[in-house]
Amino acid sequence: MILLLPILVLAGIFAPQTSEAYPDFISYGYNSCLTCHYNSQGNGPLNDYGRALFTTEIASRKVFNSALSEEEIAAKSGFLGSKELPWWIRPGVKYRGLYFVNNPGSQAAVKKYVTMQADLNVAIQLDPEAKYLFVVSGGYQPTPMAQQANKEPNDKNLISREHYFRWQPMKKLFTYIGLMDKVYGIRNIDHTAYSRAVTGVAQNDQSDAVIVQYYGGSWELTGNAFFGNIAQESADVRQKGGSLMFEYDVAEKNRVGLAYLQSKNNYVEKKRLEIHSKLGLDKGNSLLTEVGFVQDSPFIAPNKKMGGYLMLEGLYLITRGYNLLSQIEYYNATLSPETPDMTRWTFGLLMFPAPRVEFRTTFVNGRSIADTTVSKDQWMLQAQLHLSL
Amino acid sequence: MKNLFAGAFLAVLFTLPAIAQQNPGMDRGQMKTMDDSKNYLIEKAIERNIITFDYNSWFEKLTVSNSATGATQDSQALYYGFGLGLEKNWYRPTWGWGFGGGILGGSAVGGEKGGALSYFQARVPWWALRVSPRVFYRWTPRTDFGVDVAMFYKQGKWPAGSSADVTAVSGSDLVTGAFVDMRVRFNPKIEMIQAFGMVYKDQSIYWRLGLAYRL
Repeated sequence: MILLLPILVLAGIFAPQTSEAYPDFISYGYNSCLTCHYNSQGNGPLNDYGRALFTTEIASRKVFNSALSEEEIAAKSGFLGSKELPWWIRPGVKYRGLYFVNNPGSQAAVKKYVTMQADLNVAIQLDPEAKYLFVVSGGYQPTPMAQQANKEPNDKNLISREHYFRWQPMKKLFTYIGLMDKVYGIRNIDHTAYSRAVTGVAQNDQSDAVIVQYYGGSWELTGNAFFGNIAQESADVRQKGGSLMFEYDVAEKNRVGLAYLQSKNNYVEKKRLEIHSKLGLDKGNSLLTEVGFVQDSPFIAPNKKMGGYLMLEGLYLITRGYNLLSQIEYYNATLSPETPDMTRWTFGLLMFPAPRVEFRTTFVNGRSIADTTVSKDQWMLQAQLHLSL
Repeated sequence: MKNLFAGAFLAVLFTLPAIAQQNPGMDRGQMKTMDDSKNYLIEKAIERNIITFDYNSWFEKLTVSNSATGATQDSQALYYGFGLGLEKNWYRPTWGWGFGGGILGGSAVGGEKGGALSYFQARVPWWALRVSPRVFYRWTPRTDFGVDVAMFYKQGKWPAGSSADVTAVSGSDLVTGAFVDMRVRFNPKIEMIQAFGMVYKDQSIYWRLGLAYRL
């Protein structure tokens, strides 16, 4: 790690890029999201340290001349190449596109290309230590396929994905106010995973909120009070509530945590509880596990039944920049035979062939087990391109 | 599946923090100098027995017949259940091979409620004996990536349908298939099994997910 320090110091003066740093990278020794992200819960733009790490440890260096040192490669990774930007501004561009084929080979096959995200973002520091910081990220959000036929005036395609002010009053205390992701569970690589989709913490589930996070060395405690997305949701459907998450470093490259979330709007009350583990194995090899319970209780018909989910995500390094991804999931809406056991296996390659570029090819096999019917497996082939300029 | 969920929950709750305290192992450079009685990561050849506990799921063709009318209809049967096995693996510096066997049991659901020949059954019990040779590449000291060729001798009787004339037969008693098999070791004693592949003849996807304990 000490060999990386000069690179990181150098990178601190280079212009930024937005990119992806996933919790799977705990196997590189980075237990906390704050190491790489402006938002200490992860997601959103990378800070200088994160950009340096992504360029010099995660992405392949095959596109560069082998004579170049890691420091020289890092110097080329800025928003404007090697041109240095002022310390107070860190702009970025993020694009994520998905091509998928549902049930390939069948008569019901569907092929589609979706732009999932096309954002501009900027982080503005009010002081060199970034004790005071603004982050804004906004752009294109596609209309979900299920809503395309019944699009409402409130459904906007140009949105602010997040905008917040961060204040660090003490070395170990971070506070945030603005539109952000809710604090709950592992923000894993797949925003359609049950652990994110059924819990309401997926790609476009940000909420106006206040977040307070305290670092106690080997542990973190985060509280989140949220009020719904004021700009994009009408008042009656905004989920208002709070969440609390605790994470603890059991050992080097091993972190466990738990979170509880409770919220309600005019129609439904939601409760979620999860425990998780981020386990780093060999360098580049990791296993993320999250087990959780979900209860949605409509006020018109109160429901005490609880659903449950399980997520196991393994990332295995082939060679620098190229990884094998295996994600296994389970979900049952009531944890009873009344509703099907839904299982899903995602398997494929996660590739970073060059800095700023992520390419993902996976197949997804979904299987549903019920006492009332036999359903054929669901298949999806996916190819994703992420550009982070 | 509810039992699987509960088991996984308990496993995460109680085991991962504990096993993380153990020696995480070394890289290949360090391995060469280590005593093989204490570590699973040594370069030279070793043999290890492991006990496996796994969840299994696959589809088979279910043929429904009415002996009175001679009508037949094909539908699907989905098998799911758990297995307990013993496996011996031989590890070479970069490659290895193994041979395992075990017993499996669980439930099946199959048939269609519609169609000309309506037949549907859930919670049909089954059991099976499995033998499974495997070869694998030692991707990293803690990760193996290989191929299994599994064979099952399966027993399960599908009950008669709406009348004694309506009967169902699923697949065959001998199930074979080839699977991609990934093993990830949390520590020298415990490893995770992730395997999937194709069941011969029925051309369905087989899942195997479990934990193994190294003796």
